[in-house]
Amino acid sequence: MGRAVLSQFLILSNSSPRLSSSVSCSGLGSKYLTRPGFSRYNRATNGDNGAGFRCCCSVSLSQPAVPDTSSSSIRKRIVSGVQPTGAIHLGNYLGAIKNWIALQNSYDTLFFIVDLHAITLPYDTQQLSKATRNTAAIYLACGVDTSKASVFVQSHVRAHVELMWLLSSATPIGWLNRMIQFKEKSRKAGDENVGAALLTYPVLMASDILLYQSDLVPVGEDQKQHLELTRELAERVNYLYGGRKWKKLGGRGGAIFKVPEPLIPPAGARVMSLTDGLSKMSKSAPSDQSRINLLDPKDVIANKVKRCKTDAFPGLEFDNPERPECNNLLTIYQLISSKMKEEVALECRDMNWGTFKTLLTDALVDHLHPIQVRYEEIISDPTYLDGVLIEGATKAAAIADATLSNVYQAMGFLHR
Amino acid sequence: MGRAALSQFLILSNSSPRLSSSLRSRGGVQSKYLKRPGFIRQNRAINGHNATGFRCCCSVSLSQPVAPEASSSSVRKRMVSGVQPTGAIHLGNYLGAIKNWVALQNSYDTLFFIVDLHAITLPYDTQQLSKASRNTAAIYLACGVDTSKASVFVQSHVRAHVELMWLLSCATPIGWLNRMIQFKEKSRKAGDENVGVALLTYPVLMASDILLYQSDFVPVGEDQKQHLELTRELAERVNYLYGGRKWKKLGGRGGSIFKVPEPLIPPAGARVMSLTDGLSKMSKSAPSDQSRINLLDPKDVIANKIKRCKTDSFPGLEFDNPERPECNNLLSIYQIISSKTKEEVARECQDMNWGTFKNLITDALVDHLHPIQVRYEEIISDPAYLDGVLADGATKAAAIADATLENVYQAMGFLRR
Repeated sequence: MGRAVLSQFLILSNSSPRLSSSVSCSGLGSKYLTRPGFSRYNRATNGDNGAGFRCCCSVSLSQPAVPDTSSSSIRKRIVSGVQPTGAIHLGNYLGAIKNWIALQNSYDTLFFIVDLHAITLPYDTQQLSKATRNTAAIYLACGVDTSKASVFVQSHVRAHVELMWLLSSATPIGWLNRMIQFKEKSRKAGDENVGAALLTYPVLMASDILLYQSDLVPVGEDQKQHLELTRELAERVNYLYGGRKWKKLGGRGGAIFKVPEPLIPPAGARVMSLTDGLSKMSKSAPSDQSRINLLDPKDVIANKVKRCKTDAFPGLEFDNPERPECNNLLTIYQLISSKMKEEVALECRDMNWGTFKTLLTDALVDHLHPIQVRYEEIISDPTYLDGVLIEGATKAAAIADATLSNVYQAMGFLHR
Repeated sequence: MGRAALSQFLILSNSSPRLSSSLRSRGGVQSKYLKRPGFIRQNRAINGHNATGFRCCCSVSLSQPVAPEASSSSVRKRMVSGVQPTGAIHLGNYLGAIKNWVALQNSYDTLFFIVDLHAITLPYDTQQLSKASRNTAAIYLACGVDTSKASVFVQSHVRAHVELMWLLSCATPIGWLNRMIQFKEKSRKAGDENVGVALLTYPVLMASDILLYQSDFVPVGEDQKQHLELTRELAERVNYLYGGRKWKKLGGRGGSIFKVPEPLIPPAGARVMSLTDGLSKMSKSAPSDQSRINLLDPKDVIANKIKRCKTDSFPGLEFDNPERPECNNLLSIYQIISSKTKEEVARECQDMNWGTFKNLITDALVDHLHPIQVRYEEIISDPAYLDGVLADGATKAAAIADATLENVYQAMGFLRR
């Protein structure tokens, strides 16, 4: 099910903890700056791993659509769409999911399974529903806290497609024809045969983001162009329908949409394949030996690590371009064990592969086992999961419907 | 606001009453459970004022309707029609479409809706959209649409329309949309790559409008035929891709997801021509207002327009003389407005002079339009009433639409709420 290349927002990497402390802000606490400013700004993150993010955020904290419940200043909002894949692997987990545990403590975080996006390319009808649930269950098992973050299914919030239509009347076809993702995927699938939804994919994505007046959107390379389109579209709609024109129609005036900023992961570790140190760990690689799946049992993990590619150099070290496998495995160990790079470098410098592989296996099992237990609990209790998703959709719909209502008003519609 | 060329389903003409009686319904096709569509000419008795005759090419696949119908005898066929929110309706719109619905609503389960979501696909006046939507709804009510029989609602008030549109767009090849003549014409005019993508996907939303209600019929004019054809192809495609046993495997009913709609083809006949140019259709976009009778024109304005309209120097009055298009037009208008037969009118006006006839037609127009105008004023001055009608219409429509939508979500494998 998952098309890793098309997966939204999933690629965040960790880097050395030094980065997070060097970018603290002062004097930018004002809630009422209405002109967006470009500032390097990083809130203290209570994360395990000192995940450092360089945020280019606007400080235009205009009134949120729904009052936030946090007691101090208004929290910035992050949205993230997740493809309903069947199987999550370590690359997904270390690249994105694990980081949300940190983010949800500092930001108002919404994330949703993008089932409406999943159907834009050929998919397995019989698997979609299961994949959707499993994906939600994995995120909950990995520690997403529903008292802090919302989890829901995109198709359960009707506003997503409604705003998409309104936006599509303001999106020039030319913008969409130029999207690299579209050109690549339609060429593969056979140009004029692809569904029209593949062309309008970025407009639905823009709707996903703008509905919630998102401040930040975590994006990887493959989604940057789409986020850029979202920003342009937001500005276009604000220009065409906002301001005094909106006021004339009874609206609040000002900008209709907050223009979102990308959340750029720091340059850093990407999780590579276990069988090819130069390729990213991926769902689509033919051999399952190349990846650690999040739900792999203990013996499977042990076996994969035992058989994974190493080298003939003595000792272990980071950052040697001739030793990509070594760098990869040390990095995985570091992230999984929440140790600092320096600690790990010291600890493993003189180790042999055999010892290290045992160390890595134990660390992986220690970390993944609790997740797997929680996952099994969740999956075996459909009522609980359904409840979480309904609650998430209800909360999301409250925000989304308010934004949508504003857009209908500003575009002159006779409202319900 | 109205783009007459883009207006959906608005072009129906009347013809001689002879046609309706010649197409009697067959016996033995009352079965509700024929699964294979058959091509049958069938015309139900129409309790209309004007014995409007329609040639229907209908499928008899009366598979279980999604929502129970209220009629006591056999299931009534369903007709949907989308109406552009124009500010001003003229006689051509009225005689071409609106007036006929008064008849149709007695025989069919009729839903019609103001297509505001379609209206925004080309540049439009934001400040006028809401008013145009209300005025259009009010005009239809004033013209006799009976809310106890037909549903009237605003497209954007029923959320399912856009939701189904997205699902359909995943099964609509871009190539189909690129080939649409309406799209090619309008995008060329507006500047190709600058047009909003909604103009390209316009037909998919239209397909959604139709398929949501499991429509049997859709009244279409020339300019919408290609779009209806796309709707039919899309319905068959979705039925093929997601229906049948695959759907059953997912807990569904199986069989077809969508009824494949048939066009409701108006009989060839009178089109209302311009008052100043007997060879052009009466239209909203013609520069001079003298060319058309607006439905809300006051008595003196009507009288003046008729007085000044183009005639000819032949003696007497007659239908169907190609050298006398203005005469044919005005006689046709008179005939339809006064609910007389063509023969009656031909006899009555055969030896009339233009002056006498102009008085006759003015009086007939005023007699017919005045009550409509009075009702319109009543409705427009009572926003609560109109809002109530629209809310009611949207609620009823949503019940049907949401049921269809749920089936599609299920057949496409979605995790449902």
